[in-house]
Amino acid sequence: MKQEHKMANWLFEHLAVDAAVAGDILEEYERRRSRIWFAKQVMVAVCASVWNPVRDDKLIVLRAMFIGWGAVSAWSLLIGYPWQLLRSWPPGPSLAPAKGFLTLLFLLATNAAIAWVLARIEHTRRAITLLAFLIFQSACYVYATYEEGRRLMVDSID
Amino acid sequence: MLAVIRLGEGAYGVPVYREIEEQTGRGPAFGTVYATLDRLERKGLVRSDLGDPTPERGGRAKRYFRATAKGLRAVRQARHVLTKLWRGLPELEGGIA
Repeated sequence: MKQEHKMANWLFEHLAVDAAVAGDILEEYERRRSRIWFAKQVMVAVCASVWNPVRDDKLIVLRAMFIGWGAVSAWSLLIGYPWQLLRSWPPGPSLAPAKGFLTLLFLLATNAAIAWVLARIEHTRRAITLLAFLIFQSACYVYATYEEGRRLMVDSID
Repeated sequence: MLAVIRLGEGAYGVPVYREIEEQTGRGPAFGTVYATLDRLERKGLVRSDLGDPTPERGGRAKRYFRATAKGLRAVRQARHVLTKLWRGLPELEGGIA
């Protein structure tokens, strides 16, 4: 199997691209179409498979955000406080970069776990649910980072 | 819709794509072809059936489309409206040039 076939098949399967569309693209690509043509077709098929469920059911994005937010809140209540305690030990600034790295790992693991739960709950519309969750989470982190930065700037001026 | 009617029994994604490419000189994306056909199916203008899976398609089945009676009526109606709109346009008479 060609390398691009493997990649495309992976995308088709994981982003729930309609089997008929995927089959048509592979069949037509065998008819001496270029790699650029193939890449364009795969991209449009993937975008359509993400967008079409939103067009059919507008509430899916809100549901994904709500479930994601609920999962994050529950996770924070269960794990967040013990993690804060763990982070503050051992005291002292010498381990700050290591702590930062561990925090980043923890955040990534947390979000991966929540994304996995979301994908299991909304398995028929996995791609759009995960995309909505990812955008929502990124927006939350950007806002939180901006607020923290602004606070630090104001404090440094005072 | 016209490509599906022209192709008759063998109207699945690839022939529809080739028909559009041949007639217009530009190939659309399969994703947009299927989005359009799905919309037509929801409106009851076409219906689709799955064929057998084939190895060159990675074991995936073809989805055959056929125009329904409602779809054929809609196309006739659209042609009628277009013909009426084209009538009485002196600037556009006398060939392409």
